[in-house]
Amino acid sequence: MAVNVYLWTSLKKFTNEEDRLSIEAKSIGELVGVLERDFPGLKPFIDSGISFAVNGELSNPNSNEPLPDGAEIYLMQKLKGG
Amino acid sequence: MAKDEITKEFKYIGTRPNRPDGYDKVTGRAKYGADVSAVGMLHAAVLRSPYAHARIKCINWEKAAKLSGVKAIVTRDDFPNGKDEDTLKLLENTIAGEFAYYDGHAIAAVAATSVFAAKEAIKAIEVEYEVLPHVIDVDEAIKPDAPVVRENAGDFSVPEGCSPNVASYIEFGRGDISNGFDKADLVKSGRFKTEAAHQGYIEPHACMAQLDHDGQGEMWVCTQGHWYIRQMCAAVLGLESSKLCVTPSEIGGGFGGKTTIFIEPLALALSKKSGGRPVKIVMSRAEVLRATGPTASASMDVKIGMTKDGYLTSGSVEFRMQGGAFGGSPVSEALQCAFASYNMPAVHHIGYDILANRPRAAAYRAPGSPMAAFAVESLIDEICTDLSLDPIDVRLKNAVKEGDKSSYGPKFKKIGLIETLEATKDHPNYSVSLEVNQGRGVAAGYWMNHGGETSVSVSLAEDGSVNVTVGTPDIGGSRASIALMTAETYGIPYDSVSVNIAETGALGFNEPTHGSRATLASGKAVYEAANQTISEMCRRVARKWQIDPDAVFWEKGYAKPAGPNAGDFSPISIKQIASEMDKTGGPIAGHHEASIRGVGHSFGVHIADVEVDPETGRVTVLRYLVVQDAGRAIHPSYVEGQFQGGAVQGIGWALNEEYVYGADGCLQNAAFLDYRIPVASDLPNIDTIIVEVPNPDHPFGVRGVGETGIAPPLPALANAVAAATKVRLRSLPMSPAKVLKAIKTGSDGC
Repeated sequence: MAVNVYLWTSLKKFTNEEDRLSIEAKSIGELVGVLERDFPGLKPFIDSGISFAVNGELSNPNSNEPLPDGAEIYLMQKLKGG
Repeated sequence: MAKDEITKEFKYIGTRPNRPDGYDKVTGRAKYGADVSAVGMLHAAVLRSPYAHARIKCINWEKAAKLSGVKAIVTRDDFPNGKDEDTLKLLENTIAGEFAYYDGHAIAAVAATSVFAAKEAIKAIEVEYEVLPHVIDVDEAIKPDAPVVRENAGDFSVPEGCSPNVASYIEFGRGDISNGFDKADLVKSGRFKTEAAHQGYIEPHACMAQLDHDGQGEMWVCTQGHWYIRQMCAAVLGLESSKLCVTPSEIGGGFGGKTTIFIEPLALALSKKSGGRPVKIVMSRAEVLRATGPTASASMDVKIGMTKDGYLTSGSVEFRMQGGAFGGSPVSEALQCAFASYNMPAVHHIGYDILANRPRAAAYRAPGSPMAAFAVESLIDEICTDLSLDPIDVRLKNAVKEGDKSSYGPKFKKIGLIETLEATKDHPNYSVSLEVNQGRGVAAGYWMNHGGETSVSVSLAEDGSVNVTVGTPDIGGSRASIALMTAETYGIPYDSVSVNIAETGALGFNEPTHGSRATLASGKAVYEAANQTISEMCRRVARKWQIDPDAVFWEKGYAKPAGPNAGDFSPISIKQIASEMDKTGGPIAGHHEASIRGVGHSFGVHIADVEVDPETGRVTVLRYLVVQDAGRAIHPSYVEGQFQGGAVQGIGWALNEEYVYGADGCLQNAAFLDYRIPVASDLPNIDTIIVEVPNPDHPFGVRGVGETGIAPPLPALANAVAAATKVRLRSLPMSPAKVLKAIKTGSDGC
């Protein structure tokens, strides 16, 4: 099952200049594992705390909830609120 | 006005009962941070750096320790080292190590038997400093010859060749920017600057802490989030989290500034060193302004293209934000908010988080959004003026709606910007005639809102009343809104619900009351927990009636048979069920823990009318209107209060508030007399319209409402001043001196 992963532009240097990736993953947790394995340069960003927007809904990096097939997933910097 | 896609009729939601904590607060009975005391308590004072940047060569506290009443002194040597980078930054900001990084940076702390004795001891501590070059301004900080604030401070995101004062970098966008600008009939660009502004909460930071040598401790603290305080203190002091019990006091404002630690680890360390005696620290106003986080100052370059009929074709921004000596400016959030209100074919964002010799920036109401709104909404207004277009019509043409991709990527679900713009245009304020030296400004603002980690419990008392326990401190009326949602869920009177804010041992982890999340997240969790108890009550009634639990349903405070086939039974009230709990299976309680999702994005539109005195440059706000989508206003009075509070803080930021530093890098206006927040006599009545486009992912349609309201005032006032004076100010605050200079010279203030 493939999901579409969108990266912010300054991450492209770690993904062979691709800002959109198609990745086989059943959950955010699995997706994080694939990203860290295939693109090690992303690991410091993921470790520093990022959010994943799954079809417009924020999810945390450890989520094991099933991802919808073809989900649109945006990597986003962690939000600070006032 | 209201769009009731969630077609529920409510009995309690939407009403305006008194807040449960109101009586205590107006009579002075409520306990705030400084009101807590204990037997044997010591008082603490903090020695702070008089220099913006200095090496600490030596601290000699022997004389101070011998003074009467002094029980403990701590310096950085009393704190463990070897932490991860985030913890190290927290520790460094709590108490200086080798370097003092800003005027007001804590150097040492003393606990004594009186405040006077502690302050005298502070004076007796001798510190030998080597004064170092400093930098305050965000643009100065990235010049090639700027003093380096902290060596090797840039993280993995910083491109090669950047200034050593760049802490992090981000870039994102979509579409063909150049092509977008080519298609525009008018392309404008400009640089905009905002100064740091403090959250300006009335209650200074205060805490009382007690810590034994075995690592068991307690703390009472004025905070937006006591689990955060526990987590950070435990990390900084090397404690086991569960051994530290943190209880929040009532809170006299926070606005994001009370989501992190400042004095709390000092109080714990002093308590431990004094043999476990309780230690209280209360900051002065000067300490609050010098040493707790304001928001960032910003320098922002913006370029926008528009067709002559008002369609935005392309936009790019480069934001540089100064977040103090340890980084952490809200530049990422600012970028996400910059073009979020508009459906644009091409957008590009670049952001730099920059170090300076200032206190570490803390969150402030919609962090980053007000600065972004000032830059983008001002430039859009300039273009509308040049093209003779109505500013609301232009925003309506470009407004995002359900299904549109946001400027930062994800698609929006149901949102209410168009309804908000329409309501603004229909309001009488938009057509009031203006006189000479008067001007009107319109601006939109956005905040994404936040769900966050949440844990609650609900329990029935034996008389059928309900206790709700949440972990989100009540800053703006959330006890009332949570009680209303609970009452609605059960179908019992509002007065039958009590909402308590629990200490850290009573619930699972809770994020602070931040991100406009308390009513949204705790309310959603309480709804789930309450329904657990309703299911249990239905089960018990089913056993009593000897029917299937599915044949019992809950309505308006009663368990009832689901239909004729269920049997002919008289409804049983929550009071009766509760009175029989001990005989039917014991206590009835529910709980819910989750990372709450389903936040509803929030948009607001403001109209400001001002009059500018051409002789003094003073700006008087004549009329002010806030229109914002609340999703569902659970307690309309507190929603209106949030709208008005955001507007007032934004007005202060736009017109007067700023950190003024001397050439020595020291803060010159560390008092409310000189740091000028608006008072009632500075303000007109703030009119409000609550737009209700329910959030489909919340059981009652709630969107967060606390933060969006601070974003539009900065550009709305700038646009109004430009309309009144025919001169565009691109630098905040628009203080009388700056406005007068603009009138006389045409200066944009940058």
